[in-house]
Amino acid sequence: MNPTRLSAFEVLNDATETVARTATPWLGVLWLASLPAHFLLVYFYYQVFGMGQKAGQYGSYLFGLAALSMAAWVVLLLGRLVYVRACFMAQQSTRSPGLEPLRLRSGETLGFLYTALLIEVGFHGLFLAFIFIPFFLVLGGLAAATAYGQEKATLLQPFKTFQRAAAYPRILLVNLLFLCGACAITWVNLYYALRLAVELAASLNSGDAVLWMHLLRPRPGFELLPAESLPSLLLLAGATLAIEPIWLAANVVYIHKLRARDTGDDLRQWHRSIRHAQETAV
Amino acid sequence: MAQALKSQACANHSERAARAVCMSCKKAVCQECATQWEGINYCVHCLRNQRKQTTVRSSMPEAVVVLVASVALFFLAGYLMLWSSVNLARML
Repeated sequence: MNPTRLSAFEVLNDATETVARTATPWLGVLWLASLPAHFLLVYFYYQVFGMGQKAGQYGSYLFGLAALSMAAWVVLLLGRLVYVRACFMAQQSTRSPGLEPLRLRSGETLGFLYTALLIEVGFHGLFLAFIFIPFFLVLGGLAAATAYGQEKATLLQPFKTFQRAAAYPRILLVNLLFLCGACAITWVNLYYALRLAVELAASLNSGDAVLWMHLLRPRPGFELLPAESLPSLLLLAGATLAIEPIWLAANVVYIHKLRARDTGDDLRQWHRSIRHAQETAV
Repeated sequence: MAQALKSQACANHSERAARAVCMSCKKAVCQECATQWEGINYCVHCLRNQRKQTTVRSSMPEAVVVLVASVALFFLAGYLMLWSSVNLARML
């Protein structure tokens, strides 16, 4: 451990260890909280894309669906907060935290919900500009990681927190590239695993296999994606669900290291490890 | 003061020499137990009480404002989600 530098690969490496330590049972909690939001979002976008040009005529129905998706999104945010708490506790101690991650504090919960909803507004408001999407993805991860330990919620808190958290933009960029790359790879892998399963089912003369083969047929000219929007959206949701835990853990590790720097904990730990090494050598 | 402290042990760790005095409870504490807050030394217990009082005093009205803002943002986010997706569907 060298406290003078903070490397992106060290953060990702520590994140994989953190995920392994918090997987039981907190990964399940995160996925349980995320599933309704992911399915509702898939359904919402499927409906909108299905309506195409006529989508504007079904405003009240679609707004109801959007509100329902947002409500499920709030549940997802609470699941994220529980998972982030578990990741932080795994960073601080090797002992099992018990049910402590579930004991959400009012300050951090309200602060996180406010920050995450603020990011959602920015994300959807500027979605059609496309270039802002990566920026809001980075903020989404940071919002979850910085929520832990927040004493109180104020209107300006998110801006102050992000200003401090953006101290190492290179690490944030590597985290984002990792998220996007891993999502794309998972998406393609899931797609091919599903196609393989359907091909196997077809070889066993399964009746529904023909329908599934039609649904999962590849896009003409680009074999890596399905032609239909529904399987594409479902695969994207599946890929996001698979990558989300490690992406959140990477953000937690980054913020944990950043806070350790601010308080001098990294130097204390380094000093302790040097003394321990000297004592064992003697 | 420093000489007087040297002869005392930390209130929490009897094996350690005292390095500071908590300005709230006046107990002598070691370096690790003392924390400076706004330039004044406090022991862990007094600091915790001090921070609790500050949080309770200042956070209530702000929390209500943040809660109201969050509810407004919830509906605004839903509306913007609908607006962006409908326009995206038109573009596609």
